[in-house]
Amino acid sequence: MSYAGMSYASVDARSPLMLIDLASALTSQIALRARAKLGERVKIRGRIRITGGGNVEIGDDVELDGRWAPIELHAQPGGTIVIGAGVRVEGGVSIEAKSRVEVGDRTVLRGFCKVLDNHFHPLSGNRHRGAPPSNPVIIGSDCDVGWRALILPGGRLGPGARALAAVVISRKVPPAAIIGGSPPVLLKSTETA
Amino acid sequence: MTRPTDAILSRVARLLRLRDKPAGHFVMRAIDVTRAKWSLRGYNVGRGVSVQGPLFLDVRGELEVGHRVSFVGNVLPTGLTVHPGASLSIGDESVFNYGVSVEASMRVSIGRRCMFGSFARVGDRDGQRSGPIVIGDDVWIAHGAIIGPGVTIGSGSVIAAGSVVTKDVPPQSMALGNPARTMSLSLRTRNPED
Repeated sequence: MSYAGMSYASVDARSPLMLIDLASALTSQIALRARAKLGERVKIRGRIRITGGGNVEIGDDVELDGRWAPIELHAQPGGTIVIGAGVRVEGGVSIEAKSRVEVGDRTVLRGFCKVLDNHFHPLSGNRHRGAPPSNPVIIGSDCDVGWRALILPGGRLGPGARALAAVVISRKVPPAAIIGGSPPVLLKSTETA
Repeated sequence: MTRPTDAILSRVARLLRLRDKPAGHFVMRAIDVTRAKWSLRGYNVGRGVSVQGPLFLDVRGELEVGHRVSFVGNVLPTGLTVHPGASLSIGDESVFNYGVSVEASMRVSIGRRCMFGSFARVGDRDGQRSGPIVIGDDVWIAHGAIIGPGVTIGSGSVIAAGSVVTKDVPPQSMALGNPARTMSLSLRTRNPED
């Protein structure tokens, strides 16, 4: 049985839970419209979870594709997630903000990458009591954040930078650079001194 | 609580935004504890264990879960796999975020008050090597970290996000990178303006 024409691929036609999955896709649409400031022509597919009660701003022509795995946008009260125009967000991406996370125009966030501006738990002592100070994350325009990449608090990607798969970044990356590995190594730096 | 009932209940709870309200918190907690009682029935489970969302269990060995352990599976499910003859024990008050995968083909023991970040992976067999994994108390395994076979992690240690741990980690230290290198936890103070 083929349901290729259906825009929600998370809906499995063979599953008896198809109606529930379909309902979930619809509620994510409703939730998105209720909880985020949306630009024009935003394309939403599959499951998107917006939690935390903070501000989420999504620009024009953004594509959120949560068919393969849900996309999580978690902004805590006082926190803001800004997604620029023309950004593509693939499945499994998680963005968490306690202060501010910015994603520049036309950037691609590939599958299962995670962007967070706070570690949420102190390193030692009672790890469920209090959170360390936040450090905003700013991803420039035309960036490419690879599969399973991690942008930790304080990570700044200059315009046009590429973060390869599974890289862990917590510092500034110069514009148009390519960075990969853990701990990260600058593989190509196009900045002229 | 069968899966369709569970799915409907959690959707209704999400629509009513129960988790965001103080009174709703108690209702959600009651649902999570009931769900834990159902999905972990038949195993050696402590009091006050809670499960948010689905929990994928494939237990053909021994599973032991301590008191007040919580599993968060609301975005993607957490999976526990225990092969025949193997054992998996989880200490009191440990917390598992979504997408965590724990696989025991020999023995995996997790201490008390451990925290597992999303997509963390603990497996005591990787196709090449195998060996029991021992994780001490108060260990924090951050997002996407992978703990390899035969690794012992000392109490109070932190495994940084995205690291791949292949060697033992001493107590009160931090392991980071691929392959993971360890450093003292007390030395790790960095200027946030860096």
